[in-house]
Amino acid sequence: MSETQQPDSIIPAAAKTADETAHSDVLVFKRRMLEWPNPVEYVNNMYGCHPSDGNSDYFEAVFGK
Amino acid sequence: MTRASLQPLFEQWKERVEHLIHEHPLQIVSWEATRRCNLNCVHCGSPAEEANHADELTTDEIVGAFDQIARDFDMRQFRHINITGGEPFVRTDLLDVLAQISRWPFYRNIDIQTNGRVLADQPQLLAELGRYGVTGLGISIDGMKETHDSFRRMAGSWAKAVTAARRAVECGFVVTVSLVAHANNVDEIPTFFNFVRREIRPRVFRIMTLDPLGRAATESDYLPSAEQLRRVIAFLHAEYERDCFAYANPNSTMVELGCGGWLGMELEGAVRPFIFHCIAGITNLGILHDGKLASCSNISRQFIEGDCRKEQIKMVWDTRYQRYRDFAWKRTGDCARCDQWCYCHGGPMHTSHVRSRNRCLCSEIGATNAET
Repeated sequence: MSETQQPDSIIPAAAKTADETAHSDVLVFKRRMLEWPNPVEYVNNMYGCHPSDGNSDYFEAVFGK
Repeated sequence: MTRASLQPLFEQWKERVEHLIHEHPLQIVSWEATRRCNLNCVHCGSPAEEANHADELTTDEIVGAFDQIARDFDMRQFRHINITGGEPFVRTDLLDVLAQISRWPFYRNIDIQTNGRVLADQPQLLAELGRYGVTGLGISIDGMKETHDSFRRMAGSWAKAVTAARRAVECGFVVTVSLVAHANNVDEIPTFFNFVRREIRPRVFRIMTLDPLGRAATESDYLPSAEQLRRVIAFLHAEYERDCFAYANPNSTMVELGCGGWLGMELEGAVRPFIFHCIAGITNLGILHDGKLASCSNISRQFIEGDCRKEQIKMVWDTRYQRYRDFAWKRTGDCARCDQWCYCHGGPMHTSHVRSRNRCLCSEIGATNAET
């Protein structure tokens, strides 16, 4: 990762990408993360599998179609 | 959907975090099984030389602690056991402990953080771990062979870590390859990630940024610069946006920045598959190698709240941990000026007392208005 390949600050790049994909799935996934009932569900399960109340699958729910 | 439309959802997320802090239901136990290790890494955050190994909990003591938790706490919301070290597999009684605690039905989602040496030498262990409720293995690999072996100060350690990770994937464990990003390996992260994704195929490729903890507290040459931190985040952001559409597939490899800190509302949920808030003392109880009660093992021992050899764990959890749940004392420096404080509360507990240059990660990378 040479320095010439990356912007000086990631924020302009991130904002630009977000603008370009304002209606993209990335924002949909982010919305689903924010709506998940337990706000630290993923952090609780880091490194392990991800059971949750009702056996709903975090990844299917957040990143599924 | 626009980014602005997410603002109300951040407010609702924050309210759920505040409720969780108030209720602090036990959902994860971190057990620092030992501080002994079979490696001597340059940048270890939990070095063996800072511990008195004679004080290590015995088999009966740690099983008794888990039994006590099972009896005394409401386990309906319990999620996970995270076993760390040191190197957990140097405990010769580890399987015995696992066999005993996994009789409880809620202690069957366990992960172990390891350097992989013992698992590479004794592959038959993997089948036994599966029987005893271990679902996840986190294997630390800090770059390509020369880089890794140099940091580990042991030739051949990279090959064993890679072997262990591959076998763990083959055996169906949720495998996380964890890399500590520091000044001397940032440049090879993309190359290493491509190797990991192609040759190991773990569920998660995790990057932690090196913090001045343990041995790294005196190895300032390894601490990444602000520019290097920005490049790490930019790399994760690009990889996340490229592949997150596939993350529902359990065979995909996700990228994540670990508990490195709040990244600002723009980048949270776009660099890792979750919105971060530290869980130390909120849902995460830590049992240290000597029975002291705190949270994650790399949190300073000045934040010990009790001792399971002398006190009831439930009493300690219910009546102490104020420093973990009331964050006003952390609002200094950059955080005092930050308008996103209400979401992160100062970031991860393990860096609260040693913030590099007294700065949060978010301000170092320019992600919030806290930057001076």
